[in-house]
Order: sequence, then structure tokens, then C-alpha cells
Amino acid sequence: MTQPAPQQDREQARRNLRLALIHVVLALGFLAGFVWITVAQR
Amino acid sequence: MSMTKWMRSLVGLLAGTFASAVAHAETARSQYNLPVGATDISAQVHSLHMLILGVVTVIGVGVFGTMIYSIINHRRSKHPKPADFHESTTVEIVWTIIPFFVLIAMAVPAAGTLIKMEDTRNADLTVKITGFQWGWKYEYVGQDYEFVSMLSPESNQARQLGANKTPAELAQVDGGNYLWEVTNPLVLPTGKKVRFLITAQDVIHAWWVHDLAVKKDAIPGYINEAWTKINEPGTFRGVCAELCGRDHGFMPIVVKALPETEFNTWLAQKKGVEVAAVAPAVLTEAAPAAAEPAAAAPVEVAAATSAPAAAPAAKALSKDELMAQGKKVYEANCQACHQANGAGLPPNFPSLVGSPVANGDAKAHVGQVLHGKTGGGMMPPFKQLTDAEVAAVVTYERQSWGNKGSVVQASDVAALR
Amino acid sequence: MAHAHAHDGHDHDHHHGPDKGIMRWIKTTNHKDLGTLYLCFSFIMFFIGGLMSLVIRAELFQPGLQFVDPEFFNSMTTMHALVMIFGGVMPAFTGLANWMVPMMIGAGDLALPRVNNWGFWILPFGFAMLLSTLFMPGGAPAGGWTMYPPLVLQTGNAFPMLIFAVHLLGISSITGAINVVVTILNMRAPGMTLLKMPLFVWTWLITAYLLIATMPVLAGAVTMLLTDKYFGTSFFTASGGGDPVLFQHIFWFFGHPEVYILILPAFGIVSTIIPTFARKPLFGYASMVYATASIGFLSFIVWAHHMFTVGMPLAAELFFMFSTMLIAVPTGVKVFNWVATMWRGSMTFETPMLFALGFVFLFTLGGFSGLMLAITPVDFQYHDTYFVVAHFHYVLVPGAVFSIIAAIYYWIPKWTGRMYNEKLGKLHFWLSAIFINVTFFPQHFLGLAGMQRRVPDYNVMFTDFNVVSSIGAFAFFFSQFIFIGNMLVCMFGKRDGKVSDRVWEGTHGLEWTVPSPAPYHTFEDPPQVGENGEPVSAGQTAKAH
Repeated sequence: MTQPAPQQDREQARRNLRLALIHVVLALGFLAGFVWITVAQR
Repeated sequence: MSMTKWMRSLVGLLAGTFASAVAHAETARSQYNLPVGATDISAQVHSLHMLILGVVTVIGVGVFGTMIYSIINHRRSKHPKPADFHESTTVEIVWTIIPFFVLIAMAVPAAGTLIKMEDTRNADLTVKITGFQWGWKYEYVGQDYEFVSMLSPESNQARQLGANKTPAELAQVDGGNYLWEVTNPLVLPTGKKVRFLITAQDVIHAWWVHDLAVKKDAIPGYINEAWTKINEPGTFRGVCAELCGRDHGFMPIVVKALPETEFNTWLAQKKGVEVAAVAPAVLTEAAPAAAEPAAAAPVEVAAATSAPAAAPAAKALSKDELMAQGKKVYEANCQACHQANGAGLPPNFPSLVGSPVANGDAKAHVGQVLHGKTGGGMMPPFKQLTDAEVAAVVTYERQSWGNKGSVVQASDVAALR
Repeated sequence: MAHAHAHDGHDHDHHHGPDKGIMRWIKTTNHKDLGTLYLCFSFIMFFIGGLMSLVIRAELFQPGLQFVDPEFFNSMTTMHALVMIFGGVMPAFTGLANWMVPMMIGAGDLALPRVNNWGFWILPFGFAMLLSTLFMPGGAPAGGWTMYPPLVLQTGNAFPMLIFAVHLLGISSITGAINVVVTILNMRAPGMTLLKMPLFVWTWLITAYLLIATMPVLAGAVTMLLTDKYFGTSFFTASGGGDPVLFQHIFWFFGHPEVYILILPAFGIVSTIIPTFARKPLFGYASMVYATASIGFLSFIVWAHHMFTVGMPLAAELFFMFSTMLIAVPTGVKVFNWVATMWRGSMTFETPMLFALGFVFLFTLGGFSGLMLAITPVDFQYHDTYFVVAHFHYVLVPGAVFSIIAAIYYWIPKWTGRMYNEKLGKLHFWLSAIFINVTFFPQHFLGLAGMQRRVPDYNVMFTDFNVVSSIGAFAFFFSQFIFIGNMLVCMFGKRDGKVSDRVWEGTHGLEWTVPSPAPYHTFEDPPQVGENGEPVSAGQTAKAH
């Protein structure tokens, strides 16, 4: 199996994962916000 | 597509785009541009359109002219050494600010027209418009008069897949108004402010008449408002503008504007037909008396029988009478999907030939016509049909194409509504 | 540490080149492989979506119904839009981001390579699901790509497939977007500050945020449709106390940023190509970045201009008219900057430049009709007519699609190490540029004269322009085979070794410092970027070992 480019050391990978998770939360936040608005509207 | 035709097109194009106010004739629609239309608002909308078209044309000439000049003169063969500049705050600010003011100059008249368009107060007449799959119902509010308007039978025949009409033949259909002719036009008085209340019973439609510059979505559960005040008598054609299913392209609108006195006469006459049609039926219960006007103007009569005053008039018709009227109702409402021979277009539009619904319990059949079918299929409800029309069409379906279902009367339908 | 790395990289090179055969493509986490996969996938989708548009144009060639049932026609318009937007343009831009973003910022790969693989391989399944509905009883979705209830709730068995396909495509887009954001924010080479990034990277960063903000909203809205149809809720059904217009608001809150998702990366591409062939730096780099950011922001507050006719309060109509007109300001700034970049440059007109110039001309035309559509009282006349169809095809085909074609011509020598055939490239440009106008310009007239959208048949009055438009559409479609052929030769033809690392004489940026073709791993050790944005040290690539 091809590996990710070796530049990705552990510390870098951890920082990347952290930032990615922040954005996942951000996306879920938008989802939650809109479900909330939609339901509140009714 | 001969050369001369192209030339004519080109000339027409220039005329249509840049001088359409002059080129526009009442009878012919411009092939290139918005119509000036028949109301003050539509004329304002047209001039707004021409204004913004002019503005973007000027900007376009400027931008494209500069680009073309640059492409011609700043190519490597003519301009081998490129300049080196790559920013200028002054220039950036200038070309941010100038468009901003141009936009304000356009926004002011646009807002003015919009405010006028949305002012539906002080109307002289109110018409409630209900869109359904696929036609329109018009109700003169407070006048106790309503009717249904659908694609004309001639266009409806010609537009079927397999009708194999050439463009030349289609040009003759409905006197040149192929797909733009209806069974019953909406008649309005000129010089009066008419308010429209627009809604729908199944999916979203949009009521659009080009010459009146009125386009408003017809949404189930909403009543939208719009208005018009037509200056001169004439016939104005429109269409449904919002995708509403299979026959979205086949639910036109025709507005006929009459001078006020003629309009009043027309309305009284239409309401008179109701009275004339109902009265003998109530008084004498003579079927032929009702059947004759029914042949002449089936929809109006049908509307009459559904009017509250006519409720006691629901009386038994003979099978032949039901079949005759049912065929008409079928052609106008059912044939688009279930086809003239009842074979439908499976799997979306099931065949009625030998179908369990058409041969089984009449109540289920009437129920399906009235309430439609949801779930896998998608038959819309036909609540807008009157009891008499439903009875006729159900009878027609149950007795045609070898079906052996029972005969249904208007009173049976009334009981199930 | 960097040292240890270089060493690591050295070892890996011997053991971890690409696998052989099909498994290379299934298991790959390499940004270049995935970029290629995305681009090939998008071309298959462009082809399928193009075939659908030919069905549409064949039926509209003459008045009357000749070939298809109106219901199938509606399926074609619906599927054409979904396939082109979610299958064609978006994956093509993601493919370009895969290839170019790491190479432009000096990163070895995207930040989350395995997520990248997952994000791509969702797509074939999503589209298999969506396209399979064409063969189902009841047919494919026919309620328009906007999926407005209550009409969409009349869809048959295809309905859940449509919803789940949209979910899958949404997940794929979000993973791609997060990957791009993390890569750009965390993995830039030393010295590459945010305001030194190439504009393509900037536009993609903003695009990625638009995706993260809007795709979940779309997913939420379509899930509500699903529960409305199968679980007895009535979010959008009036008879149950719901609100059909609410769906439109939610949909267009997604839909308008989506429009910019489809065009911002194109701005980035054009801003890269024009300076190269004008041999002059991009005019107003900083204002380009700010203009992109303002367009991104404004895209969230203009959505209701898609629904002026639903009957909003006057105040809302005025607000959305003004905010929509405001978008013309940053967009204008961009066009002016491109023209200023050309001004007194030293231009040559290779195929990528031709497509970029075609973009500026024709996208601007689409922008003009967009400005006209912003004027609410007139929009009532334009709305849901062929004028709108002409408008958005002008911004999407000679806009987004031309930019994708330009980008591929521009970078394919770097990717494959082989120059495309310039004569065929130019022929492809001229045929495309002419026939796209033949196809879509007459549709302006059709719309103004009153032909509504999404109809399979029309009054004979509209015949002439429809004939012209259909001829243009067929000719445009078949012209694209020149492009496919040209690209296939680049991919599979013999390398002639004539392509230098710089490829074009006017190029700047890190991607041109690696060999042509770009080796499987680039920038395992990041380069150092100097004050002027140019590399000080080249960084290490596999070939350098």
C-alpha cells in the first residue's frame, strides 16, 4: 500500500487531525443550527 | 432557414433589442425582447429592462473594448517587453466606487417600481387563482362564479408524443396559439384594478402573464397577492412558470380584457347560464333541458351544479348522457396520462383497461379521482371537478375500453366528497 | 528533524512507489493519483451529463413531441443538472485542488491522505445510485435538481436513492473541503505566508469554507424531505402545518454559495493563467484576495434572489435585490484586474490563455445578465424562463468549464511530461467558443420572448432559436472529443523530453520547480520561500535523490 508522503510525521499528523476535527464540528454546527432554525420556525 | 429569413431575423433582432418600443405591435409578440405589455407596470418593467440592458452594454463596450485593444496591441509580436506594474490603490478604489454609484442609480428606479407592484390595496375586483396539476381554477371572489381553465383540446391532441405534427401543422393549431390556448379564458375588465389571490392545491405552480408583467408562485398553503390594471382590451397569453410535474409545459393561461360594460354583461350572462341551467333542472327535473346547455358549455354548467344553490339539483342522468360528458371531462383531465385508449403509460401512468379500480367498487374509484393517489404513484386529486363531472368521468372510465364497472351518479359523488 | 525526514523519505522511495495495476488506484492515498482519478471521473460524468443535454436539445429541436415523454424529459433536465454540478464541475475542481494545492504551497501531500481516498471513492457509489434510478420503474427523479417539495415528494422509487446520493456527494465534498483547509492552513512551506499563496490556493480555501458551511445544510434539508415522505413528518407539507417555502430558503442558503463553489476556483485558475501568458504579474493580488473573500461572504446573504416570485415581504425583496447587486462590485474588481493584468503585457495565445480569455469575455456576459436578473421587478419577467437558463449556462460552461479546460491544458505538460498538440488545442478552443455561443446566446431571446424553462415543447414562434441552439449544443458536444483525444495522447503517448520544468516561459511558483513530469512524491522536504514569493531553495523531490 502506498504510504502518505513521509513528511507527515506524528506531530504534524496530530495537528492536522486536530484542525480537521475542528472543521467537522464546524460543519455539524451548521447542520445543527439549521435544524434548530427549521424546527423553531414551525 | 433561408438566407433571407436569417437577414430578416437579424434586422428584427436589432429592431427588437434597441427599438422594441417602436417595433412592438399589439397582436404580434416580439421574438427578441420583453413586451411593453398592456399595463403601466409592464411598461415600467420594460423600460427598467431596457435601462439596465443599456447600462451593461455600455460597461461591456468599455471592458471588452479595452480587452480587445490590449489583445491586439499588447501581444508579444507588437509589444515584446511587458510592463512591470502590478498594483495601484487609486485605480482599485476608483473601480470599486464607480460601479457602486452605477448600482445605486439602477437600484432607485427598480425599488420604486417594485414598491408599486407590491401595493395590492384598493382593488376593484378580486380573482382567486388556484393552480393544480395541470390547469387553473379562477374564482371571482364575491361573485359566486368560478370555472376551470385547461389546455385546449386541439393543442392537447397535437402535443401528444406520436402526434407527428410538422412545425407547419403546429403553426395552424389553435389559430397559431399552439400550447397557448385554453378551454376557458380568464375575462377581466379594463381600467380596473384587479387583485389576484394565487394559491395551489397540489404542488407549486407559477401564474405568469408576460404582457401584464405578473408572475407569482402558486403555493399550496399560501395565498400570494398580485395585481394588474389593464389599459386596453385585448387577449394576453401566459404559462405556468414553475416546474409542476409531467405536464408543466401544458397549462397555459389566457386573459381576455374587455371594457367594463362588456365585462359586466359577460359576467351576468355566465351567471345567468347557471341560473338558466339550474332552474329548469330544479323545477321540472327534465334531463334534456340540462343536457343541452351542458353540451354547449359543459364546464359552466358543471360549476353550477356544484354551487350551493344547485345542490338539490343533483339528479340522475342517463348512462348515455354521462358517457358523453364523461368523454369530454376525460379528454380535458385524464387523457394526458391515461391516454385516449385508456392504456396509460406504464409504469408511471397505469392502464385503466381492465384495471381493478375501474371494474371494482365504485366508491374506491370515485375516491381516487377526488383525492388522488399518493405513495408509489402520483395521481393528483381532482377535487376541482364538480360532482357531475366526476360522476360522468368515472362512469366513462368504468364503461369504456371493455371495462364492466357500474354507473355513477352525481349524488353518489356528493356523498363521498 | 527535517534531516531525519529526508532520510526517511529516501527509504520510502524504494519501497513505496505506486502499486501496480488496478489496486494502485483503489488503494492510493497519493494526491496526484487521486487528482487524476477525480479528473477522469469528472470527465465520465461530463460525458453522461452531456448526453442528457443532447436528449433535451434533440427534443427541443422542433416544436411538438418527437422523442421522449414529458416525464422523461423532466428526468433529463433534473439529472443533467445533478450530474453536471455534483459529478462534473465539483469533482473536476477537487481533482485540480488535489494535484495543485500541495505542489503550489510546497507540501508533500494533502494533510489527510486516507480521508482523501475515501472522499473520492464515495463518488462512484453515489453516482451509481443516482444513475441507477434511470432504469427503475417510475423513472429517475423529475422534480428538478432543486428538489422543491411538494413536487419532489411525488417521485417514485427513485426518491430515497436521490436523497442518499445527495448525502454521499455531500460527505465527499465535505471531506475534500476539510482536507484542503487543513492542508493550506497547516502544511505551507516555510516562508509561504497566507498573502504569498497563489490565487488558486486562496480561492480554494474560501471555496472549502463555503462547502463546509453549506453542504451540511443541504444534507439536513434533504433528510427532512426523506422524513416528510416516509416517516409522517410535515416540515414542508402545508396540509400537515409545514411550509414548502421554507425548503426553498434552506435549499438556496446552500444553493447560492454552491454557485460560488462552482466559480471561485475558476477565478483562481484564470488569475494564474493570464499573468503567465501576459508575462506580467497579476494586477492587484491583494484586492483579488479581498474580492474573493467578499464574494464568499456576500454569497450567504443573497440566496432569496432565486425565489423573488414566491411572495416574500417587500422589505425582504428589497434587501435581497440590493445585496445581490452588491456582488457586482467585487466581481467587477476581478474582471478589471484581469484586464489590467493584460494591459501593456506581452501576450501570447497558447490554448490555456485562449480559454482563459474566453472565460473573461463570456463569464462577464453571464455576469451582465446576472446583474439584470438582480433587478427584482424585471426578474419577475425573467424568472424561470430561458433567459435564466442562458445566464447560468454562460457562467457555468464558458465560465467554470472553460476554466477547467484551461487549467488542464496549462498543467498537463507538468503532469505528464508531454506537451499537448497546440493546433488541435486551438481548434478545440475556437469550436468550443463559437458553438457555446451558438447554443446559449439565442436562449436569451427565447427567455425574453416568453419561453419558460423545463418544458419539452413550445409554440412555433420559438422554433428558429431552438433550432439554432440545438445545432450549437450538438456541435459543442462533439468538439470536446478533440480535447479528450489530445489529453489521451498526453497521458499515454511517448514522452518526447521536450517539456522543461518551467513548461511555459512566464510561469512562477513552486509547482514549476519540480521536474516534468512531476514525480510521484514532490516536496518531501519543504522548499524555503523567499520574500518575493519565489522559492529560495527548491526543496527535495523524489527525483532529486
